[in-house]
Amino acid sequence: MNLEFDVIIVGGGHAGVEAASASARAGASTALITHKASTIGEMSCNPAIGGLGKGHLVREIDALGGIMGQAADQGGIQFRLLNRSKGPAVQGPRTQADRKLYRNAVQKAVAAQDNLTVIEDGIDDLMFVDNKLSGVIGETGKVYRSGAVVLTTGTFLDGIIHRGDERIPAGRVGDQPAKELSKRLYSLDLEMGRLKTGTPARLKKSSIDWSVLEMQPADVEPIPFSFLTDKIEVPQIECGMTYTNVETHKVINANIEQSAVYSGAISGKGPRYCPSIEDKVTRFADKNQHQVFLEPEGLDDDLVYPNGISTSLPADVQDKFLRTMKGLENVEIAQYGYAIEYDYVDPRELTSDLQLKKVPSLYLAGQINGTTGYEEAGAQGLIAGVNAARKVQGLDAVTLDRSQAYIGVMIDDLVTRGVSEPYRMFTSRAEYRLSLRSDNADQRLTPLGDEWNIISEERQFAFSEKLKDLSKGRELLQSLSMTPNEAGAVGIKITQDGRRRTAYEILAFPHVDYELLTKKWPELETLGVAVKEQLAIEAIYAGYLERQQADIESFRKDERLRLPLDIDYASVGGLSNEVRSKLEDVRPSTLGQASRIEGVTPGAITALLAYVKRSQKAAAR
Amino acid sequence: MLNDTICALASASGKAGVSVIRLSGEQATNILKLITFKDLPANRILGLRSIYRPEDKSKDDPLDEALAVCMPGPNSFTGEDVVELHLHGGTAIVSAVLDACLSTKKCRLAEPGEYTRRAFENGRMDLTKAEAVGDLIDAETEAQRQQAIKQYDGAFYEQCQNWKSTLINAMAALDASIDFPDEEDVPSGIDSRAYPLVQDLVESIQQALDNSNAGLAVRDGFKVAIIGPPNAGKSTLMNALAGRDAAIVSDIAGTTRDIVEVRLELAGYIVWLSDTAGLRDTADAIEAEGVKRALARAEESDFRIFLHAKDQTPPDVSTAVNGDLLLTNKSELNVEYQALQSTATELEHRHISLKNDNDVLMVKELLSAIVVDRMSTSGSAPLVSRQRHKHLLLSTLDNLNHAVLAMENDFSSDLIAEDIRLAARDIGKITGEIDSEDILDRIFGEFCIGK
Ligand SMILES: Cc1cc2nc3c(=O)[nH]c(=O)nc-3n(C[C@H](O)[C@H](O)[C@H](O)COP(=O)(O)OP(=O)(O)OC[C@H]3O[C@@H](n4cnc5c(N)ncnc54)[C@H](O)[C@@H]3O)c2cc1C
Ligand SMILES: Nc1nc2c(ncn2[C@@H]2O[C@H](COP(=O)(O)OP(=O)(O)O)[C@@H](O)[C@H]2O)c(=O)[nH]1
Ligand SMILES: [Mg+2]
Repeated sequence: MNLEFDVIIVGGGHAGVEAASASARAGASTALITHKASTIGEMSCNPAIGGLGKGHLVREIDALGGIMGQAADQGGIQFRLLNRSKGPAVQGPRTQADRKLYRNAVQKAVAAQDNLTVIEDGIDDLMFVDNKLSGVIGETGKVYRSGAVVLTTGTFLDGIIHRGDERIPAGRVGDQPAKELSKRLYSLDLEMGRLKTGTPARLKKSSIDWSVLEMQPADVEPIPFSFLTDKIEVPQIECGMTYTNVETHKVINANIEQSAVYSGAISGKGPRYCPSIEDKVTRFADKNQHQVFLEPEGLDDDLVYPNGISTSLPADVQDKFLRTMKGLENVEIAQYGYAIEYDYVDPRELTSDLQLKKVPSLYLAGQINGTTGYEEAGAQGLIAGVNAARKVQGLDAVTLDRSQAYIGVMIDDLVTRGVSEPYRMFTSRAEYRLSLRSDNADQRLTPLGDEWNIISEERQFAFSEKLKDLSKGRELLQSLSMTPNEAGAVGIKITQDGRRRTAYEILAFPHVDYELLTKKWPELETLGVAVKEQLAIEAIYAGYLERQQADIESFRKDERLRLPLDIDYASVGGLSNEVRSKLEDVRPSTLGQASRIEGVTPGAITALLAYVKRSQKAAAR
Repeated sequence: MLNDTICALASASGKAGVSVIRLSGEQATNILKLITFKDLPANRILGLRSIYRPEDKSKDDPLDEALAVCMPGPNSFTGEDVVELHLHGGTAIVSAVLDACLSTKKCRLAEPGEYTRRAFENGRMDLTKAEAVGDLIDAETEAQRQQAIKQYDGAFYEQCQNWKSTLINAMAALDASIDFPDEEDVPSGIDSRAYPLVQDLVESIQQALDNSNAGLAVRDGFKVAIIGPPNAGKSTLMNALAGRDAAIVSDIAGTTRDIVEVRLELAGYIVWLSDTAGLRDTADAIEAEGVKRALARAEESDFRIFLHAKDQTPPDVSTAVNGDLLLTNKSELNVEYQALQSTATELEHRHISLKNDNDVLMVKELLSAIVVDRMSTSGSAPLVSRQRHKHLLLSTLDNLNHAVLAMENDFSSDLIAEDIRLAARDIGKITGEIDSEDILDRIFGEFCIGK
């Protein structure tokens, strides 16, 4: 077998899969090297894809030709649109996924990808020739050569599982950690740290008394993730809901000292927005109950994931507290919950193409960068994969900025601010969230993906058809108009100012829908459902987006002002030592990025601006 | 070599008791050694030093006997090492000492506003404070000085920070409802907490804006326009109030064609009085332009005096604002007086004769009283004293009103949050937490050298 490739991806998790697919689509011969081919696409934790902010990421991955959206559509067994009552910009598509169906869909996509070879091996080391990264070395010493490497090792770097006083070296339960590779990274003089996360026990479906539980159904009309999926074919299921109670909390409190997290055994920081049940019970002592979702892990799977009670208590205590809950009186546990602690690399070591500043051609993506979540991992994987391929091909790096995509927001946050806890996407992180919607991810990104050469013909075609339909629909809506009086006649209440408004403008009013408009204009029936929906969303935001434009312009102006990576901050006059060391840590690549570094004052930015202008002037001379 | 050392006269130029030359930058203390041939005085303590040209090694020709003080960065005005030389006033001494500093070849003359700019860049002051330094230096009246000191002390900055933190609270309430809707610990309907916060803000910002005219008038002067038909005596009134012949007075109608402006001080405030071209229909293109300008000036002024003569038809007061003044001049003339029809606006009305000094005095006192009245504000003293601040606050208010409307009409929280985000950005621009070289260039361009 030929062991020489353009790009090597280490790790077959969510980041690795997207990286491999993107690199191969970009035309680079790519190897995906992972411990076990059978765990490619495995969900380590909660079997669900999407959610608030995360759903946006999935749509963006899909718009750029990635795998996650279509796999979720093929594996999704409980589609629900979150925030349905809020604006469409902040709605989040989410689905629980059948673990097996999802994994199979991912593996099928990987197998079908040209230019992509899957290799089973554990990677222990990087190989450098003349100080240049030139490949990786496997457990048995096998050498794989490549021009660029993407590491997507997730929670595996020196991973340790904690449960009570048990300590098990592992990448996740049942998998070996990557210890050697971790040592190598430390030796590269990278800033690194420890983080932790946890997972709850898995319950046997058959041992739960479902008859006494409240159930939550899926949406009647599941909305797919992928712009290429017409309809969700997978059967949809319900999930159950139960609560912890005073008794549960008593058990947990009585044993809190035995929790790995509480006994002080773990130094790594966990996510504040995803606390363990121990955390919840101690921090919110006045609450008598906490909600728990009982999510089946698959259609024909006997496992249930109890969402909301991740724990690192000893197994016997887990048994005890679980059985205090309604419906779980006789529950049997298939696998106990645990916390896992692992190494991550300070993402400020990266530039926005996810390449290490100190090690050219070495890219990092996913949980290794301090993030958490499949979607966050996948999105980074895609960007790292495209860039690794481009690097080998001698092309310029491509990046997304905060005004273009949630992916851009996330990567900018990571490389600018670093992380102090596992990083998760939220809509409120995106200042331009009214324009970064999940419904228009394709319009924002597919043309870019096309420029980057990672979009299939099928997708290009579907996209251009959609654009045509949209512009036809938009024209129609803008050609129809009526006065407030005429609107009143069909039951639409708008301000009585005598102004004629187009159908497009009227759609922006709350409580107006197509049903009302069609009464007046039956020709609207001719528009497709998806087109109608998207135009209605556009209409709501049109006025706001116009106002936002000036803001985006000034943002882009600062983004265009590039700062050389090798700037000598000591020679920039007027920077306090504190600010200077912050700038030196991050080495921002644009003035805009510099201004977002915590603690960098507006005055410092002015000084930096003056410095750059002066050097530009000097260079021009 | 970036941020090289700068020097300039820091006190008012011209003859003065004491003149201060300030040096700022890495070389400041070195330069002091080079022009005194002596050790540095202890930090922050004045030391007596004779100043020489650096090449005058034998110390034959002392330029002045000065008090020198060193203030090491970063706890200095600019955040850099600063040296101040307190000299015996006098243009000749100052320029000799500046020359001596420059001939060390280790510094250059400061550009306008450069000291303040450096202080801002070094995080020694926020933008409102930097602006206040300029105002403080330019202050001519006690009212201007007090207002500038207040801003320098951070009164407006603190207010902006308060507004900003309320905005952040409102935003947090909305974002919590958006990003954590299903969380048990986030109460449902938390987004409604934003409503009272935003309403309070609207009120507080509106109040600051209500007082802003007074603040602006203190800083920029109270603007009064004299307007009326030709030959009413407008130029005469202006000259009488100014106490000098600023405008040509003649009985040829149409003599004043452009705006003539004089600066007065009334009751401790600066008043800009504009004499304007007489209002009449005219075929003369130049005069017609004058009329157009007169009307525009009347509109942008803080106060208008409508002047006509007893023998003229009453003036058109359709552009008047409540409280403006109507003067009927030449009261000594023995002609039939044509009274003004009742008007929509309430005007003060007086009959005067500008030939009579007592009447001139009366008008002057009346105007003073009006200025004092307009400058005193309800409640607290004005915080807003600049057009830049006013415009940004108006924009903030626009965005917040938009948010209120959106909340009252059940718009979704992402839209409301957007309004609030834009409002927060506006406030950030006031204190300079938003970087834009345009704002800065304008601000620092306003300052005079060495300040
Ligand atoms: C216990 C636990 C709890 C979690 N809880 C949550 C949660 O509550 N919410 C949430 O959003 N996310 C949670 N996650 C995180 C989520 O699973 C990850 O963020 C996501 O899977 C990261 O994707 P990744 O591609 O970076 O890494 P992973 O999915 O971890 O994939 C890493 C892959 O790399 C392979 N690999 C590693 N090292 C090597 C090597 N040296 N050589 C070859 N192959 C290698 C592994 O075999 C694996 O296939 C949890 C994860 C764990 C383990
Ligand atoms: N009789 C009389 N003449 C006045 C009085 N005030 C001004 N004038 C004269 O009126 C003429 C026009 O005055 P001027 O100030 O030039 O008027 P303007 O055109 O309004 O600026 C001049 O000859 C003045 O001397 C007044 O109170 N009584
Ligand atoms: Mg005149």
